[in-house]
Amino acid sequence: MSFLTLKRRHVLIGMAATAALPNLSFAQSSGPVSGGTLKISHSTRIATLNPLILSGPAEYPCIDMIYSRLTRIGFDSQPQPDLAESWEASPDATEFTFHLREGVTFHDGSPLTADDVVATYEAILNPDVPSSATSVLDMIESVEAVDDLTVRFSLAAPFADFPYSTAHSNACIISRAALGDLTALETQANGTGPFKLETYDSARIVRMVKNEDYFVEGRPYLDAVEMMLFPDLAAETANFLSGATDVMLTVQQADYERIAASAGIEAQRVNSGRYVCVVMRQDAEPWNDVRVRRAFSMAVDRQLMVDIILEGLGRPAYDSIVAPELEYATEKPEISYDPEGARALLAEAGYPDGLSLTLVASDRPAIRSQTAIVMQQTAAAAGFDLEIETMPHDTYLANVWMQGPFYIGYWGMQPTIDATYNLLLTSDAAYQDSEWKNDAFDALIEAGRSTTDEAERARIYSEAQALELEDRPYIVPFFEDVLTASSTETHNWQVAPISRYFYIENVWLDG
Amino acid sequence: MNLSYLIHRLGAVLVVMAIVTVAVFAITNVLPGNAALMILGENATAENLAALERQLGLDRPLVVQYFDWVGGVIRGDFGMSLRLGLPVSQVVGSAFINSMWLAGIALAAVTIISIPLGAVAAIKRGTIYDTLIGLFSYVGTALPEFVTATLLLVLFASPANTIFPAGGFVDPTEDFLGFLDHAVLPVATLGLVLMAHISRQVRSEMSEVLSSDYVRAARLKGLSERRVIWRHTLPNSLAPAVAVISLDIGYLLGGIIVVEEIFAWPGLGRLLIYALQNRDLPVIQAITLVLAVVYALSNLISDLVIAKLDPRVRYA
Repeated sequence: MSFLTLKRRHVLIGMAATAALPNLSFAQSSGPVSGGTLKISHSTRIATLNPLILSGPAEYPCIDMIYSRLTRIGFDSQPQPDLAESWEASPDATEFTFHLREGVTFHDGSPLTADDVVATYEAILNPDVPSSATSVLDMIESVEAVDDLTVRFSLAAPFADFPYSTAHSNACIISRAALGDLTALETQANGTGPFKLETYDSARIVRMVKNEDYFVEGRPYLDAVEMMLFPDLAAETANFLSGATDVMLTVQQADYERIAASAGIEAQRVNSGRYVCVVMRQDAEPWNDVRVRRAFSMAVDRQLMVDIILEGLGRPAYDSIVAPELEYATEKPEISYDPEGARALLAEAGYPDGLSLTLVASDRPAIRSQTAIVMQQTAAAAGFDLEIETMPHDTYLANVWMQGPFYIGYWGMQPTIDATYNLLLTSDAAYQDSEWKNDAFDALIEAGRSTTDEAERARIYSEAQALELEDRPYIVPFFEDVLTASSTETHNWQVAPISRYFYIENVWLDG
Repeated sequence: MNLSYLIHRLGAVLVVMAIVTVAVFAITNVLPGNAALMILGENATAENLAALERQLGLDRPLVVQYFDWVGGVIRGDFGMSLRLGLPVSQVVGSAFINSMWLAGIALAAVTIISIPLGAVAAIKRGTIYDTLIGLFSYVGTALPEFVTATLLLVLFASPANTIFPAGGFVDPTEDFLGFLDHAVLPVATLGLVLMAHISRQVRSEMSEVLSSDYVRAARLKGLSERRVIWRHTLPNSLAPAVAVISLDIGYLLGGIIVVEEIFAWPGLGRLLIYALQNRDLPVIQAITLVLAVVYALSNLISDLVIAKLDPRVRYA
């Protein structure tokens, strides 16, 4: 399909509206059938439907069904048209104009206009309205409705990746009227997406029904989708295997092999840029010395972690937070487990007798403490005497996160290399927790934003990644695969590597 | 038993509730972090956090927050859940009903089974029945419910041998049999400890009554053994059992917190843990209040029942 080979510059110049969406390759002998209710099981509570701030793993699929954004990231990791059927950028990438689809209505029947888009973005940028997309959209200087179907953004600085930012999972377009009551947004929804909210029972089930007026002709296929909460994993698995549910949103590593081997089940493993990292605060000893960080890096047995913690369902990472799937990602040299080398480097840094440190890990998800424990074992031979402090997630958030000197972080994948670095590593990053501040690195990221030249950007980002490896602000031991499963009667169930976009309007069930 | 006594008791309940809410409010605020931070999690930038705190009213002084809440409660408004965005009365109300199903069935099952069990043990003192029932009581009292629950799960809900579901909840108004199926293991967990308590109490009290003079007199009068036991002994042995049952309601309210979490029962206990993890103060307060009221009222009711069973008891 031509969509899959589209490159950024095509996207930037703009693209014609089309009903064709990525990954619609129907290899099946019979075509898609309309009707049926898709039952998706999940194990984390849907606590809110407020698209501006929600961040729960089971909340993302809900807003992906109920709402639309200006753009949406496809399974090819490129921005696709959503409410905007096309867009264009000024040559210096400081002005973006989006052309909306004609005739789109909200679920209550009111028409979508450029004014609703303006209202949404004003809310996202309003410091009094909590919203998670602010950090990737704060370069917007002004947003205006040129006419009913045209929205123009002026940016404070050039930003070539802007169509990725408008696809941010929390940048759902909400009507101006609905934005008047932020509390109501938590439990009610009036979107433009393929499904309408019917029942919202946070403790048990969220049910959505087909939006007959969805703007993509012939979609969705399903009559309804039910998100069913199973707080107990054993119960969730049993229900899925017995056919009571059609899709298991997230499969645990420990269950993957068994589920994949079951009859009538199709398990999927998607390489993703989700990673665990070790935060080493660099404004104090011992982490202010790059040799100590490098020594610790050599004290980590990456393949062992993939085998033990992920049960093989992941890939070793080599201290860069940039996933191999991202555009401009460079090949990272392998770092092997070398306790003697680490010991020597530690001695050189002034710690001939090794170091005793306390590594903090939150108890949620379990992968954090598991990582800490494996590190404790392998690092001992390298002269790092680690004490593990596992604590409840709430205490961790309040007392350690963004404050502690040495703890385990856990992050989802971002859509671009710019978003990845701006989240954590630039000096003014939203979640700067390493205190690694490097002017040369900042300048590179700044330069990468402001050019649309492919070759130039490739050069810039390769330099930035080289700097990251040189300085080792984080130890990144592995990338975790995204695991999901569906029954063989369920077609087109897919999870994007970022786990934010699901395209459930393309899913259909055998009749 | 008179009206002033009743008013006196209800007044005490109110004082207890006031103390409980102040204590819970203070303790929750000592915990690190607040609801805004828990909602945003690792998406919390300083600006978002400040904005959400303003939106939720968490930027106000604690005293203002407390009295604002008290004012609402007096007007019958328990406020909104900070985490779930729903009225507290709705969230806690549905959880309360689910918990009452669980606690109610457990209490009913325990009363029906343990009183005859204790009576049999007393009548057949020294026999193998007595020893077995005694042994069962000791084991039941000794095991905490998280151990009992795990044992029951391993025995009856392992993947290889699934007799009962491992957890979950079915609305009894939709599918009563499915509901009972899901209730068996949690009820059994709660019931084991309670049964031990109550049957031991009934046994010891009844043993005492059986060796009392008036029972001997009844026997000498030539009454049938059945009449001696059912008419003269059992009713006079029940008062302490009722007192124990009412104390056990307090235990039951604590027990459901553990049991609901293990068996994924969407009741007050599970909601309380969720609310604590999310620092959802209005929900925490409302649940504590509900539990305190249930406990206080069940004590009051048991006093009244005891007075009815034993005419010598008089309250002033």
